[in-house]
Amino acid sequence: MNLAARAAAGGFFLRTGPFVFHVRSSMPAVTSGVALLYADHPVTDAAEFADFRVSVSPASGVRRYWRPQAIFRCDGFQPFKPLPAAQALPFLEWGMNWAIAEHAHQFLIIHAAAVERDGRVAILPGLSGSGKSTLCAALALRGWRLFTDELTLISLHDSAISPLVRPVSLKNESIEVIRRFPGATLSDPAEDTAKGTVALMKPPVESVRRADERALPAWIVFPRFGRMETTRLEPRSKAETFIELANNSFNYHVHGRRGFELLAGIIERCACLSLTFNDLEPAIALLDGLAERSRAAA
Amino acid sequence: MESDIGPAAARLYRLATENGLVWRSWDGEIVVLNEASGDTHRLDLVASAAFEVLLDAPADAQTLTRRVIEELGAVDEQRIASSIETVLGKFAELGLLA
Repeated sequence: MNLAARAAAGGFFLRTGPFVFHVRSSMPAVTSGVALLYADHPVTDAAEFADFRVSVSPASGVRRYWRPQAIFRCDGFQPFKPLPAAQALPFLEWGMNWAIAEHAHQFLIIHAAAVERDGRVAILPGLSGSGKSTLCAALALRGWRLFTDELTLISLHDSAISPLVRPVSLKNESIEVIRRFPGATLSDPAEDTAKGTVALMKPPVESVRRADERALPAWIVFPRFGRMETTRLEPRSKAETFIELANNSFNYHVHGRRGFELLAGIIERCACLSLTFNDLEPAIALLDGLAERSRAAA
Repeated sequence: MESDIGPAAARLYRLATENGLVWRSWDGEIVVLNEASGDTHRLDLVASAAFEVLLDAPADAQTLTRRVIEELGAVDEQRIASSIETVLGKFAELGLLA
């Protein structure tokens, strides 16, 4: 049985990084999307332990006839109001992100993308509209190993980052920009979401295959897309970077002194940089150059 | 109002390190976690220098100002003096003083 059929039947167990999700949905937008985006992920039907049991199902009631909606549930709990059925696939992804950010306190979780080259991770924090996910997708299609586009998971024990290889969420103009990259596979776009039009990029198979290989961070790079800007990479204050990472963390406050010490250690070992860019190609070249220099210096 | 406690200038300011302050310094800027409040703060250069001076020993405002000027090599003593007043007020507000 293919993945779409399994999602609609009893559901399936999906391993993504350190988590196992049980995923179930009868909605065609979700089942076909999951079948496309998670085709390379380890999937089983066996009744193993699941960290989270998630589902997206159609809302009931007469309203479904003129305005069909989707309901996300995690472990039987409905944390969000229903969304239009056309947004069911990104809804599943947002819900999975929520489940991790809300519960996985064995990690310090930063709202940031992360990619790896030669055993060194670049953490890419950024607000919505900064170009973080677009840059992350482009790097993943240009030889960097995708760790995450949204949730950077830092070990409390050794500062290593765990890959959480899942689809990259692209918005609006960035969808067509990334679609033009060789090797890019994207879901159908969902329109009129709170973030505009959203499409999901399938993670590269090599990143999925190496999803158990953790690595230490070497760079913290704050991307900022600006059409009128010149592309440049500049050092930034470590103290400011600390505060920005703490503010971009979902659970820094949970960890108290341990979280402070961990983040301070990360700041000390990493180069802290700002990347302003008006085009992906020179931005990729700058980051490739960083990796190249580190490799040469090693 | 006059009090019997003594003139304000004579007050010794002391960091609340025993209440759980954890800090790091990078390029002259300090980031400090106040465990009592759970809040983390980034101190600017003058506040960071004042924090460093008070880590050495408690000080009154006048001594603190002089030491911060020495630390920073600042020539605008008047500006530093008025900044220190603001910094001490901020430290008190953030629970960094004992």
